[in-house]
Amino acid sequence: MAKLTLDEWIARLKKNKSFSANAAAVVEIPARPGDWEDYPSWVSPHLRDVLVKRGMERLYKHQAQAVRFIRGGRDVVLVTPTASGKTLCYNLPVLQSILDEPETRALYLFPTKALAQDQMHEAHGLITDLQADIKTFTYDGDTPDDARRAIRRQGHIVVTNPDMLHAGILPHHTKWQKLFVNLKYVVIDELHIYRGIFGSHFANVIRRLVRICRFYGANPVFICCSATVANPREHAEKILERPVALLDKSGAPAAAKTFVLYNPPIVNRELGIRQSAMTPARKIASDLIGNHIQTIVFATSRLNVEVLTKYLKDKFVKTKPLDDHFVTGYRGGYLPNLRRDIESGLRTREVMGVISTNALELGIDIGNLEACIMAGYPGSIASTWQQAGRAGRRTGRSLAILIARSNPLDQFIMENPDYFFSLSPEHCRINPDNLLILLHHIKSAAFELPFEKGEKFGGENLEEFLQYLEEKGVLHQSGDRWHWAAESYPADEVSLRAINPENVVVVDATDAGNHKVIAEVDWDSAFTAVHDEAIYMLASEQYHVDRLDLERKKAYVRRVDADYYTDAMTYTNVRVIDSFDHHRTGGAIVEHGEVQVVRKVVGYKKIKFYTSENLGYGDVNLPEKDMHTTSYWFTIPRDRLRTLDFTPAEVIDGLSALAYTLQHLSAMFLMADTHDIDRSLGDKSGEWFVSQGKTGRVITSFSGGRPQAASGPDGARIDEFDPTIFIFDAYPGGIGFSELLYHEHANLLSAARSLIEKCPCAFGCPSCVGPTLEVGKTAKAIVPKIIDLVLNQ
Amino acid sequence: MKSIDKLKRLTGESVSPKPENERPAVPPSSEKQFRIDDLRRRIDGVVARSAARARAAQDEARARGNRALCEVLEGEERENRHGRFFLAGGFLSGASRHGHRSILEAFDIDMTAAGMLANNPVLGAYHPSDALFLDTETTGLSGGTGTMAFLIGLGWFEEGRFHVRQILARDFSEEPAALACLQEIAAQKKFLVTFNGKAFDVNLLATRFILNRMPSSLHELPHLDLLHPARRLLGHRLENCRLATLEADILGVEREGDIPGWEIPQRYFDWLRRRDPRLLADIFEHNRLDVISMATLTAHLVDLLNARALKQHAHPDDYLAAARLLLKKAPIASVKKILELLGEDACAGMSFASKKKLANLCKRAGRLDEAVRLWRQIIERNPRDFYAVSELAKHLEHRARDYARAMALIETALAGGNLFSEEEKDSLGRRLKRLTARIQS
Repeated sequence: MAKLTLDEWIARLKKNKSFSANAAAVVEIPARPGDWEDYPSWVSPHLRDVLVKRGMERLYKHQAQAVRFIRGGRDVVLVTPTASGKTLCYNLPVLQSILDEPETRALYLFPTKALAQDQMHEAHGLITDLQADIKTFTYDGDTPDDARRAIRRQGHIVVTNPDMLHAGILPHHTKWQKLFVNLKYVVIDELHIYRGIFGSHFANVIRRLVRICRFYGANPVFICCSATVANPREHAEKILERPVALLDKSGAPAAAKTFVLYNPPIVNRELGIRQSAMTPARKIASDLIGNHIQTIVFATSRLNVEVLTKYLKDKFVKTKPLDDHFVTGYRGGYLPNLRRDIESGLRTREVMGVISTNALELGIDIGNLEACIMAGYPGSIASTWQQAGRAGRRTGRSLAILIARSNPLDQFIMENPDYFFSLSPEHCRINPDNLLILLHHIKSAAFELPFEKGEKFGGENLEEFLQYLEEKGVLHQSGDRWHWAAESYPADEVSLRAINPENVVVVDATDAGNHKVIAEVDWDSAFTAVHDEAIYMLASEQYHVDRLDLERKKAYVRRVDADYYTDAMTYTNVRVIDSFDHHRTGGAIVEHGEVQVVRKVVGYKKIKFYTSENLGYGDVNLPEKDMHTTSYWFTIPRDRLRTLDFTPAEVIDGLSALAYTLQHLSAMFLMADTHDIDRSLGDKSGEWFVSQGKTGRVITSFSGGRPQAASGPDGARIDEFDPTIFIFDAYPGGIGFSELLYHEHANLLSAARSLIEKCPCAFGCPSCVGPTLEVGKTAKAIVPKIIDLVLNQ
Repeated sequence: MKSIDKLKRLTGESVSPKPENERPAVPPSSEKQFRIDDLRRRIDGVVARSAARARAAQDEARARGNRALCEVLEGEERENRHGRFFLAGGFLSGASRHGHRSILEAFDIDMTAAGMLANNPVLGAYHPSDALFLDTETTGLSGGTGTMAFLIGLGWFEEGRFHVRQILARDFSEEPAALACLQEIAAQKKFLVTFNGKAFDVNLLATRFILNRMPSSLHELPHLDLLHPARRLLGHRLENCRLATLEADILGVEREGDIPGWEIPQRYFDWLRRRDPRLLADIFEHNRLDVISMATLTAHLVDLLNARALKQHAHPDDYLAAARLLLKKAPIASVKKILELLGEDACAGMSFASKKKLANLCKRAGRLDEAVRLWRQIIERNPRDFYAVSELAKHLEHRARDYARAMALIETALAGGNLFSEEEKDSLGRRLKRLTARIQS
């Protein structure tokens, strides 16, 4: 059969009735003309010639403005779409400045090694054309030792990542004297990646960088680039702690794109269950790939990547038995070599389909893909546009399909396509003064340079921290200075990407004599992904976890061929430690403050491939994890709930359902990732909490440090406590979401009521209050009544 | 609540519970307010006085520690324009022994050989008294800007004696003065001798100079880092190449009650808190011995190059390594003395591998008779040793022109069970063919 082109494929799709019935929106984003300006006069003719030869006759308007600002010494943040020539905005002024003044140095920061490599090649290409003696190097964990010395002394442009700056460069700044003394520009690309916990760390690394620059008398210009986010300037200013000029009008022409929002059909109206997003994703992807339309599929979890890759491989192995790379998975946890292979396979079109987590969302060069399928809303508008942008960076037309899942956020987007297409994307939020994060970086900073009395670092009282660290015996005050006085190397004690830098190594012990490390799992995921008896999936192979050895941080796995995968069950218990503020609304007391969260993986479900049938349960015995964070919560006195005409068990179900809705809506209100926040239902003392057991909802009492079931699903003793719904920051110490939610309390609950009332389901569904199997048949009826209790006097 | 208390809770430390009545239920009356204000003033006064007392007590402990230091160690407080520091010093007379050697032997080392050890011929123009031996004790081994050299041990030859000076920063604030003292002494010397100083001590000191915004020429001085030649000449028979191992196995130095290196940083941190000079005394002794050992180690390595080391302290393989080093850097004639030393007696107990190396050296140095003798010795024990067979056959063919014996040699080697690789078989086969042709022509 003849293969269809993308245009033909789209035309056929539009005629397909069953597809159209489920398409919530088909939006044609037209091509946009460009807006140009001449090169400024200070650009040397030679450099201009090189750029003109590369097809850049003139600059886009935003480029011209950016280079003008940068040349004038202003810190800027650039917010323009992919393929709008952001790179030139910094390469042009940096290269010109080095041509003018050969001692000039520039530091480029990218969030990943792969991006750094990409950008180094780009700059290197320009320099080769220029035939100038300008040296550009990447400096990261892969840089050989013998090359490092030369890079430190001679590199004009050093391209690195924040982790390396944090642990490899700043603590050795004296070796980089030449760079710091002459540092004129610092480029921070993909600024929007530095949010949440990573961003809070990053802001502190920048504080340290600025401090070291000051020591050498340098005051570099900062050039930030970001994907479209709601608050680019605010975010940049929070990271840099100084005023920054915003440039957000793109002058670049853009190619046409067809953007489809697809809502899978309802398969069970009573239960409100829709077809899984994975099903249409699989069908559409296999049809596109079958037509040799190069396609990227983004799945929302590592597990989904593996499941989908397995399905698609199964399909194409039949028709193309020889080529294992025709369809492939891609995610963090794959070893670097494999990832480089896949990236180049995509560029050469040997790989026709790739299924990825958001690992491929950033600007890694994978060539010009034609179609992008998102199996599930990526969690933020910014991510959605980034992912959609991976298709059609250079070609004339491209296709993006967003397939909704059955959760409130996805369904909200489907119900309100305008919201998606018109609204500004998310805010980036960071909390650089998160006490734990700040403490780590004060230690690292003290290692780099002694602190002097009166010095400032962060928004907290620095001297208190210094005294605290002196009590701990890591600092020593001598005169008016605090010196590092310990043997350790503090930058190694913290990873920027998470609070806990530990990793668990996955060891394949299939062949007893030949153990192989096949992947790494971060500490927090290890509890749910590689617990004993779990099925761990990697590159669509299944591995049975024989043993998770937490002490040695190893999971021993064995290759198996099972027809199921596993999904971990956890419980969460929250206890209030300190209330920062409170007020009363109607019948509830609303508060925000500090809480202790205890989590434990208690078991797992076995789920059959294709049918998603539940094959059984198993127990998991892992230690619980304990963290302090910030939370917003509200408590409804039990007397008030008694006035409702429902059984106590139904009330508990209703409260769980409300918590479910609120967590998802909070993510939208905060314009944050859903993973950044979590929920729990219990009471303020932490003595009682509600969890989902094997057979239904149970109230568990937490006494003597051990949880025990207090009651079965029938006799839920609601009269024992005043139920409290917690929506909390999913990171130790919190990143500042809770206070915002506290102030949005009334709006949040009104939105929840409106979402539930508008939902077409009969008794509640995953799109509003959660699946009825979990929250019971009365949830949809009771939640609005609970909301009334909370909001009205 | 104070941030620091929140922090303690986050890190799991105990915090004193919040006082129950943090905020009074009713606003205090004006009379009450006055009493409270008065009380607060008095409390503040007490707090301020006790802080001042604590500071005074700290200053006094510091002064007491400094005085006690002079009693425990032979040294005194010094002052330069950067401030005060502590300088200990002494000397060893030429006759003093250190392990197998007397210090005297290190006085007149051959500087040409020293230059070869340093891989820097410039040293050849200097005199042993131009050397500055340097070893530091630091607050950690991890490197980076947060590690300080609190004790800098120096040594040099002067008027028939070996002088040792140890510069101590009694606190972080004394570091600039200590570094200035180092700079002053180094300015009078022409080259450095260290053990692993290129990677560690000098690097670290360069960082400290930068951090204190002081100029330094230390890292520009020519530098003999003994670690590398020691590893090269002696590594083959040592478990590791730490200075302590070299002392025990080569130099014959025995240390009693020596402080282990890993304890040193914590001892210094304890000193900062407790100001008990006994904490530092062991470190001074450890550092002093390190400096002296560097001097005798230099002498020993130079002697190996010059084929002058005492027989009982040198191994034939040491000389072999020395000869190989020499051949890289010096005219062939320079290895003559060593090869003479490695005569028939010396190499009797040598391993096959060493004999091969030696045979190669002899060949390169033009001492063919000895090479032939060694090849024969090897073949006698193993007639199928590829290296020896082909070398000897080559010699017989091209030099001795004894084709028949060359052929016999190869035929014996190829006969019966041999373990030659295909390549080796080919090579021997080709030679055999050529020899056959030569005999027939």
